Amino acid sequence: MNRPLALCLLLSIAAHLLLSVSYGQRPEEQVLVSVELREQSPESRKQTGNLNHPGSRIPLTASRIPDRPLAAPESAPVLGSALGLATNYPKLSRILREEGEVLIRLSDLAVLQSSGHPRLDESARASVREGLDKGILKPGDTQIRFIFKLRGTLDR
Amino acid sequence: MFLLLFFHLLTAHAETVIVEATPLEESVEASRSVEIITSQDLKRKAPATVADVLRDVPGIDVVRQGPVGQVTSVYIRGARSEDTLVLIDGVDANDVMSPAGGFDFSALSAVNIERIEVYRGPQSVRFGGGALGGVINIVTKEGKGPFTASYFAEGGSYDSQKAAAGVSGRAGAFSYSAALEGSQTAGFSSANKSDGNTEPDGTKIGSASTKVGWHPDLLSNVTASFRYSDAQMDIDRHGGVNGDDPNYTSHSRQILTGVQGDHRFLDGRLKSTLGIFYEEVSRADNNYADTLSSDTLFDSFLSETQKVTSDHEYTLDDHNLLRLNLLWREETGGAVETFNGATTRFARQKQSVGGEGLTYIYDSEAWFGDAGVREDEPSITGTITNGRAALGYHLSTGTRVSATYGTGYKMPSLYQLYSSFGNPSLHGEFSDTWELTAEQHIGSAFNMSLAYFKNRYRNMIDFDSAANHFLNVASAVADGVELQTSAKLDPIVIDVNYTYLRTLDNTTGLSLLRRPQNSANLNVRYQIAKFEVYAQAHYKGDRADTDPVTFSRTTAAAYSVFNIGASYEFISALKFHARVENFFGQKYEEVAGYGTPGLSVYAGLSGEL
Repeated sequence: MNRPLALCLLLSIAAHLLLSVSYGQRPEEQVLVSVELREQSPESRKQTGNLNHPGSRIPLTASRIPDRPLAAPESAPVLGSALGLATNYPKLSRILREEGEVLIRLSDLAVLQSSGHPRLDESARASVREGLDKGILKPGDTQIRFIFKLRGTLDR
Repeated sequence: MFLLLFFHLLTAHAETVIVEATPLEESVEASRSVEIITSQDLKRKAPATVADVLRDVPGIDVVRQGPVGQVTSVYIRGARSEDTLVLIDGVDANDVMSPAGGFDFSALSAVNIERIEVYRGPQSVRFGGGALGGVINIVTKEGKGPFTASYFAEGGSYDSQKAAAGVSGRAGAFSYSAALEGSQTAGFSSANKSDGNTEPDGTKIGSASTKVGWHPDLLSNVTASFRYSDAQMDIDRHGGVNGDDPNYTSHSRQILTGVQGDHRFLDGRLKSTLGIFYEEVSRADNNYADTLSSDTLFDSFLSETQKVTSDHEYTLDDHNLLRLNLLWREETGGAVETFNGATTRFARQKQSVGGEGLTYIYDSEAWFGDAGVREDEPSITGTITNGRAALGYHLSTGTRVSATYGTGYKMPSLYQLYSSFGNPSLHGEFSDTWELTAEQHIGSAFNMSLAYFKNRYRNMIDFDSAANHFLNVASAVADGVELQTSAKLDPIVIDVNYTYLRTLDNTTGLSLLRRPQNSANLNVRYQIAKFEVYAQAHYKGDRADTDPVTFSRTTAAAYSVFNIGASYEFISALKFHARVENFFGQKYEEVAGYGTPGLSVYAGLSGEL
C-alpha cells in the first residue's frame, strides 16, 4: 500500500527538479515594487545605531544617482520596476500577513535590521544580491532598506 | 544650505524600497477546471435555489421534476446526477440511502452562502470516493467585520413566499454567522398539466444554518458549522398521463455538522487541518388510497455519514507545494417500506472507506501543474487507486493553456448492495477524464475560455432485469466542448457560454437520457449606480428521454427560457428586487411528463443593517 505513495513522492521530487530548471524568474503580476528615495526616519536610525545624521528630511536629488530616473518626493514613490529591482513578496508571507522593515548592508549582505520574518529578510537579501549582480545597485550605496507592506485590509 | 549639504554627505545613506503586495487567500489549484460562484453573484441574481444558479454554468444540466421543491438533479459533463459529490462546509451532503447515493438539490437555498465551487470531471484524488462525475463544494458565510444583520423577503407567482434573516460578524478572535429561512409555494402540478393533471404540488422548506469560528492568530483557526433543513412536499406518482396524486407527500430532514481546526507548523510552512463531519438524513413518504389510485405507500429512510479528515499542506517555496490528504468515512443506513400492506425491511447496513492521497503542486508565472495519487481501501472491496496529472503554461499573450488527466471512483450505494434488489458482490464504478483548456484574456475587460473534455465511465452499476438485481455492467463515454466568453463593457457585462455534449451508452449504442447535445446560456447585466437590470436566456437542445407511462424512448424538444430582473438599492438596509421568469411563457419540459413554470413574477426586499 505504501509503494505507490513512495513512487509518487519520487515522481514529485523529479517533477520538482525538472520544473525548477525550466522555470525562469519573472516579476509577479500582483506585486508592486516601489522605491522611495528618502532619508532614514529618526526611528530607524535609532534602531540601526546610525546617529551621525542630524537632518532626516533631506530629499535625494537625481544627481546623486545619475543612472536612475528622477527621484520623486517622498509622497510619490518611484516604481521599483523602473529601477529594475524585482523584490519578491513571498506567497506564504502574503497568506500569513507578514510585514516589516529589513535593512541590508550591501558590502556583505548582512541583515542589519530584521523584519522579524526570516522569509522577508531572505527575499530582501536575494533582491540585493540580484541588484548587485545586475549592476542596478552600487556598493557605494552602503545599505538599503526594504519596507514590506500589504495593501488592503487585514480582515479575514 | 551649505551646512545641510555637508551633513548630507556625511550620512551613511540608506535607500528605501517599498515592496507592496495584496494579501493572499489560500486558493484552489490553477489547473483545475473549477467555476467559482461568489456571494456577490448570488446576491445579484437573488435566485430561488442553488440549483437555479448552477443553470448558468457551462457543462452543467439542471433538471427539476416540476415546481420549486420537487426532485432536482444536477448533471456535470454528461455524468449521471448521482455522480455529483456535494460538500457543504466539508460535510458530505449526498443522501446515502437514495438508490444511487445522489444529492437532491430541491431544498438547498442560496441564502447564507459565501461561495460555490463547481469542479467538472472526476476528482477522486482530491475528494475521494463519489467524485465520479464532478464535485460541488459549497461554503457557507463566515462572519467578517462588525455585527451585521440581514434580511430577505420575497413573494410571487404560484402563491410563493420566502423570508430569511441572519446575523454575522466578528468579535475579537471569534467569528459568527447564523441564518434562518422559511419558504413555501403552492406550486403547480408536478405531473404536467398538459397531460390532464390538475392538483398543484406545493412545498414548505425551513432551514437554519450557523458557523462559528475561533481565530486566535493568523496561524490557527477552529470552525464549527451546523445546518438543518426540513422540507415537506406534495409529490406525484409519476409524470405524464394519470401521474397526479392528491395525497402523496414526502418529508425530508437533513442535519449537516462539522468541526475543522487548522494550524500552521514549521514557521508556517506546514498547514495541518483536522476535520470531523457528520450528516444525518431522514426521509419519509406517505401515500394513502384516493380516487385516482388505490395504491398505498408508507416508507422511511434513515442514514448517517461520519467522516474524519486530516489534511497537510507543506509549502516548499513560492512555487512548490506538497499535500497529503487522509480520510476515513463511514455510511450507515436503513429503511422500511410498506407498499399496499406488504412491508419490506432494509436492515441497517454500513460501509466504510479509509484512504490517503498525495499531491504535488507546482505554480509559477509561466508553468503550473500538479500530480497526485490516492489509495482508498473500502470495506467491501480491495484497494482502489486513483491518479491525476495536470500541466499548464501561461503565454505572454495573456493566454493560458493546460492539459489534465484524472480519475474518479464511486462505491455502490447501500441500496444497490443490500436492498431486496441488492447485490453484495458489487464493486466500485470508475471514471477517467482528459481535459484540454485554453483561456485568453484581452485586457481586464474581455476573456474567453475553451475546454475540451472526454470522460469515460466503466463498471457502472445498472439494474439487470434478467438477474433481478444490480450488476456492474454498463459503460459510457461523454465528450464535449465548453466555450465561455465574458465582456465587461462598463456599465454592461455580458456572459455567454455554449456547451456541446456527446454521450454514448456503450451497451445500447444510444445517447444518455436528458443530456442535450447543445446548450447555451446568455447573461446580460447593466448597472448604473444603485440600479441594476439583467436579462438571461437558457437554451437546451433536443435530448433523449423516456415516456413516463410507456417507458419508450422519446425525444424531448429543444426550448429557450428567458428571465429578466431588476434591483434598486435605496440604502444598504433597503434594496428592492423583482424578476420575471419565463418571460415569454414558453411551454417546455425538463423531464418528459413533468411540468415547468409558466410566466412567473417575484418581487421582494432585502438589506443589511
